[in-house]
Amino acid sequence: MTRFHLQKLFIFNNKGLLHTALFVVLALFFTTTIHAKQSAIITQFLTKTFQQDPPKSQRLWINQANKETIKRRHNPSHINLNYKYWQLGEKTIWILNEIGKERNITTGIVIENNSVKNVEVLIYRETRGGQVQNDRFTQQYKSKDINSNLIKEIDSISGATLSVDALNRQVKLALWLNTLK
Amino acid sequence: MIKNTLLVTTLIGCGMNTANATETPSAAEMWRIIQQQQATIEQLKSQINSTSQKIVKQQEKVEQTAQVIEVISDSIDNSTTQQESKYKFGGYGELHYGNTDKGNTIDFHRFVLFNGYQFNESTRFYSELEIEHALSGNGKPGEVEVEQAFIEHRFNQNSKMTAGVSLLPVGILNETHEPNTFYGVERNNVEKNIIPATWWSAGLGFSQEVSNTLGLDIYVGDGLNVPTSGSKAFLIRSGRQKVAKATANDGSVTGRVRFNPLNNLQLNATLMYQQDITQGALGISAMLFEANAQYTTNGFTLKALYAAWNLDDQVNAIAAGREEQSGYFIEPSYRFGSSNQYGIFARYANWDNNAGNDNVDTDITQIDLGFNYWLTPRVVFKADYQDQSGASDEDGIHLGVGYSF
Repeated sequence: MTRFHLQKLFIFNNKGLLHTALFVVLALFFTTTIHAKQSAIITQFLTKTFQQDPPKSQRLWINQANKETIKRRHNPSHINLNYKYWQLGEKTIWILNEIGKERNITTGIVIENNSVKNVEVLIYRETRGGQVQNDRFTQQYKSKDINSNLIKEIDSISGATLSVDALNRQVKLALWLNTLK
Repeated sequence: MIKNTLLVTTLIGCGMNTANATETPSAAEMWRIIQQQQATIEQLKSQINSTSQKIVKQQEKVEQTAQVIEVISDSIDNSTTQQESKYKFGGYGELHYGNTDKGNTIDFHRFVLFNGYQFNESTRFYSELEIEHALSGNGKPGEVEVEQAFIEHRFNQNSKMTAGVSLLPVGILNETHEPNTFYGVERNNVEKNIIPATWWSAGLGFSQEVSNTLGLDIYVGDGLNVPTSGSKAFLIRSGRQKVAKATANDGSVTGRVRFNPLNNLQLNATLMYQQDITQGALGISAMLFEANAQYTTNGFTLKALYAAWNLDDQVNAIAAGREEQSGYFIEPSYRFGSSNQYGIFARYANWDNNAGNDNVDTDITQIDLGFNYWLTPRVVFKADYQDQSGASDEDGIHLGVGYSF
């Protein structure tokens, strides 16, 4: 076996390690971008989807019976008193929060004629499982309806199972809420 | 004609009757009545006005109330967004029963508590405290370990950095090892003996999502300190220092590339280098190359992993063949049931911690067959059968139950 001579490279001598670390930290501070305001992200999504200024939001209030159904059928991380939605013609948008492992994932679900038109992860806060933000993953939800078995029909992602489960719950809940409004 | 006469007579009769009942009022009387009626009309007018004003006021109040409800609802929305408390608590655990050629054992293998705190949207603390084998102490079988304790800061959606004790970015289960995420009661022997999982280090980590399909992780931290004599000389797994008053003469650098060209295909490759894994004793450099692939479609999953350590060839003089320590496995599995609650798997694994010695067969082959039943997505019951051959021949079964939350 040949001996390694990589230690000759700058990065691998002892001082080099420290310098590299400092360089990475500094470079990151300079490339830091300001967090876009969450409400701005949501408004942007609404405007893009409706292709005009979004209509006034409406609220679906959850009574005790519906609360129990949500708990039993959807088992989300939390149940709201009401769910906000935006409707224009046949198109309805639901913005839902659901915890993957430990942080909320904010997702926009567009429903048209009782089936999913589009799903977009608006704010992802979890540490691992960010692949669910990819269009290639979310486009699997297109045309799914209340009778779809998302667990079976959506291909999961290794290492992102909890985030995939959270998105499945969000889409399923949005489809159900859409029948109540 | 007769009909008309009758009608006229009737009408006259009625008129006479009326005149008899109420006499025609005088003009003064009429004037009084008109004035009374006028007063009543005025009163009614004013009542209508006041009622209209009340209605307008009520409408205003209703609108105000609606606005208040909107504000309160918004504030509830905001608080539910924050509902994930700043304090994080979680954990996982697994109970194992083994009946193999080495004997029968029952072991609460891992009891783990996660603790964390979210300082703000960008910065958090995260930790994992583990009790292995249920009982630790002098001469006891278990250990209490701090496997993770780090500060993480997100610079933006695509870049983050960690400082502290973290799991190294290598392999499939080193970072994600909750029992409900893998098949087999025990963790696979390739990652355990070659990588060696679970492996954590103190240092700085940096992750960057370059694009939708490409991610990079870099970790600079403390390194291995392997024994230099005895049967465990230069054995990678025995070199883990666990950040316990670890010798820090020589650190390690780890880099990983994550590539997912398709939604359901994940490809990862890790390279790690350490200048001296004996921390100054013998000057043994070492490099790990690891690559894995995970593919999922319609319930089928295929996982494959290859890992190889190359050490300075000086080590062969002390422990024959230890210059190369490598292994691989391939694991097809299938999930089924109405909510994919059942899973079956097979795994073919081969590893060798003395692979540099061509003269002697020192590798071990293990075939596993088994199933998982997920009672809920995060509670799992497991069973498997293992058949070893080669340098070790430990056959037997395992049963287990595990959870994470």
